[in-house]
Amino acid sequence: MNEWPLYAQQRWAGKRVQRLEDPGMLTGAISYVTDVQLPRMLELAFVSSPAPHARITSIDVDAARSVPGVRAVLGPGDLAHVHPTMDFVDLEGALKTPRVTLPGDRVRYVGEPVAAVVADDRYAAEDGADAVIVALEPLDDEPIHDGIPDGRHFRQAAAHGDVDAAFARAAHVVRRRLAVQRVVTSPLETCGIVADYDAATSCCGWPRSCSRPRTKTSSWSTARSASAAPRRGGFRSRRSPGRPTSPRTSAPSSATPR
Amino acid sequence: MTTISIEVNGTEHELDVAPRLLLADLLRDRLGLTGTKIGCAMGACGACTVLLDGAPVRACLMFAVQASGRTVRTVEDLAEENGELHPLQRALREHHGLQCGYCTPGMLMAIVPLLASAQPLEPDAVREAISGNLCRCTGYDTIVDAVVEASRP
Repeated sequence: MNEWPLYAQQRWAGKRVQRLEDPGMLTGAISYVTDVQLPRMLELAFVSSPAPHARITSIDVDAARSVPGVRAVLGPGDLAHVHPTMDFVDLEGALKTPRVTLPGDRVRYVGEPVAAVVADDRYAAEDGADAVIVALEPLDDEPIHDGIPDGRHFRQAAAHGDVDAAFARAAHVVRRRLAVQRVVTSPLETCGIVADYDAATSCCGWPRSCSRPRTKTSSWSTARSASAAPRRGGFRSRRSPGRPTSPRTSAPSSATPR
Repeated sequence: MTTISIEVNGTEHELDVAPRLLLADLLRDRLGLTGTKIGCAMGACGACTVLLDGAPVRACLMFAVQASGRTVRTVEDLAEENGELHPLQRALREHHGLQCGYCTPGMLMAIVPLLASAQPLEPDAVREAISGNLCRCTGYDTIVDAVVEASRP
C-alpha cells in the first residue's frame, strides 16, 4: 500500500493559493535590504576593478580619507585577518580558488573590490570611492589562478554500463545535439547587505542570527558575520553566507566604531 | 542646500536639499517612501518610476530640485486608506504578475496613467507601455495579462 497521501487530500497542493506577501509588495510596504535603516547606520562603497585580470601595483587611499563624510577607508592590509571564502559550490575534486575579501596582489574579475569606503551616506561613500587611486598592470595572457594553466576549475566524466552495446540493441536511435544555456541568477534587486557588528558576540547578524559554519576556512564569513536578508521582499533565501559579499560588508562593520 | 516645495501623495513638503540629491533618494531617505525602488540607478530598469504631475518619470534620473513646485505620486498612494488595493494592484495579484516584487512599484506607476483613458488596452499597447520597465523573475506575460484585464470595464 502506498503510504504517500493523495495530493487531492492535502490542504494546499493543487489549490489556488494567494500569496501573503503580495499586498505588501504591491503597496510598497514590504522591506527589502535597501529599505533597512538601523540607528547609526553607515554606507559602504567599494572601489572595483575595471580590469578582468591585473596586478595591483599601488592603492592610494589618502585623498579618499579626507573626503567629507568619509569615516574609514579600508585597503587589503586592513582586512588581511579575514579568512577567504571558499568556492561557492563544494564539488569533490574541484580545484580550490579561495576568494580573498580584498585582494592586495591582483584582481581576477571586472568588479572585484580592492578597497572599501565607509561614510555617513551613499553620496559621501561614492565620493570617497572615486577618490581612491588604484594602479593596475594588465595580466591579459596569464592564467587567472596560479597552477591552473587552462583555467579549468572542474571537469567530470561519468560512465554507466555498456553504452555502445545499448545503442546497438536499440530499436530506434535518435540523434540530437543539445545546447544548454548558462544560467545566471540576476534579480532586479541588486546584491545588498546590512551588517551590524556586535562586539559582545562577534556577530553581525541582522536580522538573521549567526549561521552554522560551512567549512573550516570560512569561519568569518559564516560564524562571525551574517548578511541581513530582507524581511519579506525579494529572493532572501538565495543570499548565501558563503559568498564573499558577506565578509566584505561585515568586516568593515566591525572595523568602524560608531 | 536649496529649499524646495514639493507635493508628494497629496502632502505639501518644504525641504532643504543638496542640489545633487536625487528625487528617488528624497522620496526614500527623506520622506520614508521606500516603495519606490532603485534597481540600476541609471534609468535603464524603470524600478524607480513615479508620476510627476501625472506623467511617469525616472526618479533616479531627476534631481529633487527639479521636482520643486510640482506634484509627485508614488506607489504608496495607489491603494485606499482602508487597505483596499487599486484595481491594477488587484489584477497583478490575481494573475501572478509579481514574484520578488522589486519591479512592481515601477510597473504600477508606468501603467496607471494608461488606465486613466478608461479604454480597453490591447496586449501590444501594454508591452509598449512597459518596454522601459525590466522584470527579471516573474516574466512579462502575466503582467500584460493583468493590465489588459484591469483596463476592461
